Amino acid sequence: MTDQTCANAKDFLPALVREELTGEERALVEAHVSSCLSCTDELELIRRLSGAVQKMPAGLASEIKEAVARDRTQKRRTIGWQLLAAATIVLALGTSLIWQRTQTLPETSQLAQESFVMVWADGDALVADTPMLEDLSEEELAVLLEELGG
Amino acid sequence: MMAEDLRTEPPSDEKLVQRAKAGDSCAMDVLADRHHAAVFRTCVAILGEEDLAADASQDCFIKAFRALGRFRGDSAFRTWLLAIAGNEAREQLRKVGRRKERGLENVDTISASGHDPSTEVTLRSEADRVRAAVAELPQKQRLSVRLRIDDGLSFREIGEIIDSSEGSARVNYHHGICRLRELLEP
Repeated sequence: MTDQTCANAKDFLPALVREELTGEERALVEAHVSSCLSCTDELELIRRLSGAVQKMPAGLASEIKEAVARDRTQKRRTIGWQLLAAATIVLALGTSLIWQRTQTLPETSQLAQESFVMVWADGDALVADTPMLEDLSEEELAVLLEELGG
Repeated sequence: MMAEDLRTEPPSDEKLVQRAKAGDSCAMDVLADRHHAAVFRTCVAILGEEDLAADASQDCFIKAFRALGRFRGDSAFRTWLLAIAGNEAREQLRKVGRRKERGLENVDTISASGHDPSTEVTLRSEADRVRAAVAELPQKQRLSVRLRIDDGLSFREIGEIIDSSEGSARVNYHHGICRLRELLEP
């Protein structure tokens, strides 16, 4: 506070009343105030305002702490219920999935029980790409016999 | 270690906030002890009524501790908390449907009613008279004056709480002081 002006001295008045200034600051501000009517008036006003602080209701701090503790307990309970609900949903979904899978199994086993012939290709020719004898002409048969005999 | 720290020297708000974030209820209690008066004064400056201000103070701390995980420390914890208090009190004010923000029901107000001021002075205690004069101020001026004088906040901090710039907080404070001078003239 080397540049002692009325304006910046006024900025320090609340801190002066609250006794928060250092020794040097306090001396500078008080020196200015003693020679300034406007600052003297303002300092007096701030002292009056400071003395008229709203009284605290008795037990407010305890009530606040209790309310905070209650809220935290309630929050923990809510989280507990949410976890339980989530676990129930997972269990229900899992059960549903297992049930659906077991419902599809009979169809598979029914398929497995059907005749092999029904599934397998009807005729060696379709399977091994080998012509059946009865389907051959006499000429083709003669060629085949000749090949086999040869 | 925590209990030992609390016995030896008061931990800073920053340390307490860190502990509270980790779920330390003891740290929350210390923060509540340390700041509940400023929170209450902020609420009462907006609401006017002690009971409403006490309720708003409780709600303020509950909301602040719920939101503590999102507090990044860009401003001081006290500033952040008082901003929440201001919002909570204004919300409460809306809930009770008050159109007139400065309605102090339990304290008579000084008004330009034509009554002899000296008669009014004799009927009131000095503190009531000063509080009534403060209640006459618009909300931002009232908050700026109370936060500056009662809690020693800087204009930057007051600006954050009343949702204005630092310069605006300074202007509000000085206008409030000038108006109080007029209202409390002998």
